[in-house]
Parts: sequence; structure tokens; C-alpha cells
Amino acid sequence: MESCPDQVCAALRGLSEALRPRARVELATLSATFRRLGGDVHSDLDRGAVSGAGVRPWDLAYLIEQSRASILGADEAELSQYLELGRCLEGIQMVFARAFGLQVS
Amino acid sequence: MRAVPGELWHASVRKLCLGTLPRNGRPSTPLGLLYLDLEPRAGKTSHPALYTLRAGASAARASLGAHDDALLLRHLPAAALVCDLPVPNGPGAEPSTGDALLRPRMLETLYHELGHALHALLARTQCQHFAGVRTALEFVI
Repeated sequence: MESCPDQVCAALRGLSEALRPRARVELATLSATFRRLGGDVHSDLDRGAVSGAGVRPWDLAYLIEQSRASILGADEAELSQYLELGRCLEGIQMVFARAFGLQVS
Repeated sequence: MRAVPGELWHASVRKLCLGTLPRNGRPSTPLGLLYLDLEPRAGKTSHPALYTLRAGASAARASLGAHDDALLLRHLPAAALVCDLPVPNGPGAEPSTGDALLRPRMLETLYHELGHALHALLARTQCQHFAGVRTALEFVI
């Protein structure tokens, strides 16, 4: 267990390093969707955002949905047939067990 | 996990116990209780949320006169995860299935709230007011 701020910061930095490559790939996908939908990556609003990607926090939900639809060729409603509540709870319990050594009963 | 009469506020609420995995012949140690209230109904909020019902703070070492962490008394924390997921065979659901079907955004919301639940149930603190999710409010999308 993390017992002091330094340990917490080290854990968060480690997580950030480990996740960065995958996050970069996702950002490139979202940025492509942003441009495809007519977004301007060089707009004034883009200053301060990640390296000209054009993606800002309030765009995420929409861009993720649009990217998923174009990659999978299915909309959100179609995907729901694969996401039964009971199965989704079983899945997260597997994550709890493997990542944290926890069980749900 | 079985609930005692009067414990659940609605018939659709499920009670779960979060505990350690049994290991080396040792049984699971309970870490906290989680109530899942996932279905919409009249008069219920439609906003997904995690409510701490009882914070998992330990009694202060000084007040117990204990010098060993194992002797600290910890409240078994309890939290309620409240969502607005579609009811199986209810309006908008596929009539042929027996389980609610989630859209990806609903699944993300459910897992997001479960993250809050872990935070609330696994926290170790002696300060009731800082236990688990009782921190600065996040911006939720």
C-alpha cells in the first residue's frame, strides 16, 4: 500500500509511462476522426492541447463514439447486443481478481 | 451476499461483499459491502453515482491505546452504486433476452462507478472525513 506522497507520485508516473504508447495511438485515431468530421487542428482553441491533435476533453465522448462506429462498422445500439449486464459484471470481477486479488460474493 | 429483512430499499437492489481472494487455505477476508441499485424506477434519480453509506475509517490508535496496526478497529465500509441501466424486457430492451443490454457508454459509466466503489471500500484512513471518495469532487463526463 502507498504510504507517502512520494510513493503515490511514483506509482502515478509509472502508470503514465506505461499507458503513454497506447494513449498516443488512441489520440492519433481520435485526431483523425476529428479532422474527418471537419475539425480544425490549428484553431485558436487548440493552443495548449496535445501537439496539434485538435482533441480536447469535451470532445472525447463524441469522438470515441464516432471512431468506434467507423472502425467497427456498427453503431452503439448494435454493439449493445454483446454487452449483457451479467457478463459485464463477471468480466470486471475477473479484473478485480487478477489485478487486485479481490473477490466479489 | 444475503441481505437481512429490511436491509434493501428495493427488491431489485443486489448486495455484494468485496473481500480478499481465498489464499493458501485461508478464507476470504471481507473488505466492504456494495449495494447495486442499477435499474430505473419511478422517483429514483437518473444520475449515476456512488454513495458512501459507511466510511471505512479505523478508530484512532491513541483512543484505543493500541500500538499494533492489526489491533485497529476498522468499520466495514458500505457503499451504494446507483445507475439508470435498461431493465431486461422493459421499454427499449430486446424482448428475447434475459439480461439488460448495455451501450458502450453505459458500460463505461458502470465501470467508472465501480472504480469509485473500490476507492470507497479499500481506503485505509483514521480520518472519517477523508475516507475513500470523500476528496475533492472530480469533473464527471
